[in-house]
Amino acid sequence: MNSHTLLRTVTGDTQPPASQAVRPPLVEIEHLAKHYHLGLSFSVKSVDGVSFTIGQGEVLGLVGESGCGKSTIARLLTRQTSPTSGQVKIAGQEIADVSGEELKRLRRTVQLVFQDPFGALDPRMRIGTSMEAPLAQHRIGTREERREKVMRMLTEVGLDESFYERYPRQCSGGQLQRVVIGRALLLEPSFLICDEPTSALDASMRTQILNLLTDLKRRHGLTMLMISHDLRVVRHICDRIAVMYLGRIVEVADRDALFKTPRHPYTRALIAASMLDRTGLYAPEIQLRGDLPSPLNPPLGCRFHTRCAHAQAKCSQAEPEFEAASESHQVRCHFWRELQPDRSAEAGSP
Amino acid sequence: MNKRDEPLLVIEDLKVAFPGQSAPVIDGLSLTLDRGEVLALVGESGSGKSMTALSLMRLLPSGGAITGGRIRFDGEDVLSLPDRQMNRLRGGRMAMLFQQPQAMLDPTSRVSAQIAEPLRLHRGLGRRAAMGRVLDLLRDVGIPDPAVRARCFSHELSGGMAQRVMMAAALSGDPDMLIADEPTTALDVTVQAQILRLIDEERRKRNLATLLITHDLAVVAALADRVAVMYAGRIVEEGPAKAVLESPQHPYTQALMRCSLLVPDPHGQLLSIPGSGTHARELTCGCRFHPRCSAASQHGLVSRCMRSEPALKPDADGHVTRCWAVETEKETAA
Amino acid sequence: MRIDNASQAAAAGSLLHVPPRRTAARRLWRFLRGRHWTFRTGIVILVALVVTLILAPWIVPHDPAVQNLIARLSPPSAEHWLGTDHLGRDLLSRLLVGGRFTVTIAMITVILSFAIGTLIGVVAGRVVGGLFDEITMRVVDVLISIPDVVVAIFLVAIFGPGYLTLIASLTVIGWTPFARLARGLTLAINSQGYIQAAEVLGCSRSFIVLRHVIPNIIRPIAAVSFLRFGHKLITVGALSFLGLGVQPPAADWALMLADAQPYVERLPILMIAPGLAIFVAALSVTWIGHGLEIESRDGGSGDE
Repeated sequence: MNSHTLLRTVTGDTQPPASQAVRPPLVEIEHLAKHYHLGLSFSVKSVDGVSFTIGQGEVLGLVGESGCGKSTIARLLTRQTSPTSGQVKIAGQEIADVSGEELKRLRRTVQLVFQDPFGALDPRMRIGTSMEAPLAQHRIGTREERREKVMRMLTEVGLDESFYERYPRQCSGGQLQRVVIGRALLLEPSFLICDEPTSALDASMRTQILNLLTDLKRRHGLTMLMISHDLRVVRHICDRIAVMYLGRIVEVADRDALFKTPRHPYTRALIAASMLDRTGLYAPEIQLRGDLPSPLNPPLGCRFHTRCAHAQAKCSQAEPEFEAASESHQVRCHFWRELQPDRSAEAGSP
Repeated sequence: MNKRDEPLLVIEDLKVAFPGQSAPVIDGLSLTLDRGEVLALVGESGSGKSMTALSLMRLLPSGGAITGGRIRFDGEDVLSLPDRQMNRLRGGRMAMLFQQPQAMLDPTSRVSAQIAEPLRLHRGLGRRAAMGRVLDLLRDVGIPDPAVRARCFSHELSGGMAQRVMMAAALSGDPDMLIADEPTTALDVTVQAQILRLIDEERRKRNLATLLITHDLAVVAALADRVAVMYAGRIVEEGPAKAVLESPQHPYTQALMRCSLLVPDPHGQLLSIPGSGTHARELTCGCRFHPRCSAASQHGLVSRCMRSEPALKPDADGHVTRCWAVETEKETAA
Repeated sequence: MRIDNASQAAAAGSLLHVPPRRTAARRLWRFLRGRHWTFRTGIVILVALVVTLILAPWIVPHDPAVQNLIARLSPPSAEHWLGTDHLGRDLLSRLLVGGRFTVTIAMITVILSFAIGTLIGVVAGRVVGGLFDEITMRVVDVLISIPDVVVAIFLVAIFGPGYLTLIASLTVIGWTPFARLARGLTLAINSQGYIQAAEVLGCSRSFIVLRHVIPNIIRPIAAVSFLRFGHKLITVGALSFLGLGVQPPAADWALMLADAQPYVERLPILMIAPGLAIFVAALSVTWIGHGLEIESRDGGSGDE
């Protein structure tokens, strides 16, 4: 599969029309795989042959259940771990073999917002110190300039200067997540990864943080990767969405296309499950059987066939190829043509 | 005491406080819950909804104390029960599901042992009888291969599986009431639907009174018969789920609804509630929501909202709201 | 409902909790007030003890080394508050001076062991699975199984008795429990979000160790170091008792204990006084350690 088929135009309604041209890719991932070895004969194929690109200024959503490998991709992109095989290029530079000073520079380019804001800040450090330390480590500015920068960033992420002196335990989760986002942005990264940035937060905090991220993305022209298990969260902010299942990407499409005409049965189940209501609880789409199979021993053939309501004999024998359903819409399913794209018409059929 | 006419659970004017904190965590909460009914308790973290659940079980974290009010469960005064009877109630007729099912299971002993233990202790079942019952329960909650899973340790279970095991443990005592504290928050969306369905099926089958605690209104919509919305230790709105979800009255409920739906406005902004409710409990006068409320200014009620706190006022169909704006509106309508 | 970019967010009530900067004295007071009672009692005893030992040369009523064979083994009197020993030396004076050596040695040893052990343990914990980790942990396994008294006897036999020999021989073994504890705590810290964050933010290794790891693990290690101090005190006493520590005629609690043995029936205070002194000193630091340990177990942190 050619990764460049995935590089495409973006039509988000929150984007100004000027950006609807083809964007040069900032992040290119090709045939990326990460296997964790457990003992001699077992290995978990956490990420298995994943390819995608993210254009300059684009926001890609990466969605899937826990254990599907989406967080491993975040770890690979931030060089917290090295890939088993495949390539990761950021701004044209292969990141697998950088080290020393170059790695340090890469770390400025790629930043990460963590899921748990309470854990991401040292409980014994004042917030100001936590935010300033990375700047000092990268030798940015003088002490006064750094303090100045931190103060400005605190205001930018919607806090005030009094937070400089506080300890993390004196803040709420939403406030800490703002601090974590601010700390990442202080290094002026060109690529921001958000790993479940709102799943530890309340509904009202969640929207505040999502609004903040949308705002910052527009103001700084950030390229982003939004990782979440909840389609509702990525829907608002992303231009394009990739759905991951057991280490593989099963569907990639523009945000609106994905919600309007989801092709993969798994995507449909995810959409149905995230739009719960009373009748929805018993809707056939979310009747996914059982849990995610163990990545230690993924099913043969199509990895989703064990839980798929539409599975046929072929699904357990051969793994489907990644096919283009339209110019900007790829899906990995044998029967995507046969499956009605209209979800309301789908509800009654097997 | 008249057992027949009274709902299964009656909470009257409950107050819970922690020493060293100026304001009570729960301040004058009254609720009822009937058999077979699902009551959803909704609110942000810190609103006191989990504390309500823990006070029902008399399991408040150390220091916390119930300083006022009454809790009656099936006609019995829960707060004055001796510890021993309370223990029997907890393991038996009141059961609980938690947010982190894996953390609630002992990592060093097998699933079967953990479900069997209360059976043997409370019911005096023999080893073999208890094990048979465990397998039945595991089958009931939809665990495939119960015999295999029963021998697992908690870390070998996925989150959804662990929550099912917790459900089996909860059902082992043949409860009348199930308290589910954010039972699906830590789970994936697909598994979330399965667990909610399981709760729904079990309560129908067993006529379980269910207290569902959550901050996610999608979960409420899927399961609840009645909804009580909590803010800063107080109930601000309560009523039939359909009424509350379709025509929320209190500005806080309205805002919470919009947050949960994650629907952007024409400017591409998601609707959110400004500020945080962390210190709202410490407000000494006025409506506790007024610093974050927009209805007050729209109705020209700011000074009233700041000065005195509204009471819970009912409308025709048992839908009660604690808000000056709603009250004024009704008066003008009448 | 109007959307707000949360500039109001902070205003809505969170401003209530800005900590004012405190003076050192007030912070100390708050620190002490927030501790467990064993910690406070221990501190009071230890401070009193250390002050007495420091001032000992100036406040002793008699020269501790001067013998007065006529007044030997005299019971407590106005002249000699605690009586005299078998050579007629003033017991109180000897007691005041005799603690200096033991306490100093124990203190230096614990501080050295603490510093060396923590550093090695943290570094091993940060590069876990690496060669350094592998080697140090095997060394720790071996050393930790050898009693320090045995090593001390061996080293004193080679180098002869003296301050340095004693400190060295106690430290050689003494650092191992600290290293093992520090490594374990570091492993737990490694998985914390803020350590990962620091790595992703491009912070250097030494920064992570010095500013994140050590401040977060220092409390339980400090607790252990106080517990070890009591143990060291007794070990030093034991070595002196065996004649490997302080050499006569210098005074030392354990030595006094040994000297008193033949006369214990005639004048029990000869043994009770130094025994009690060792006991109280060991108890005070153990209590401090115990109090700290309770703190760190409860996760309490009222010190800021």
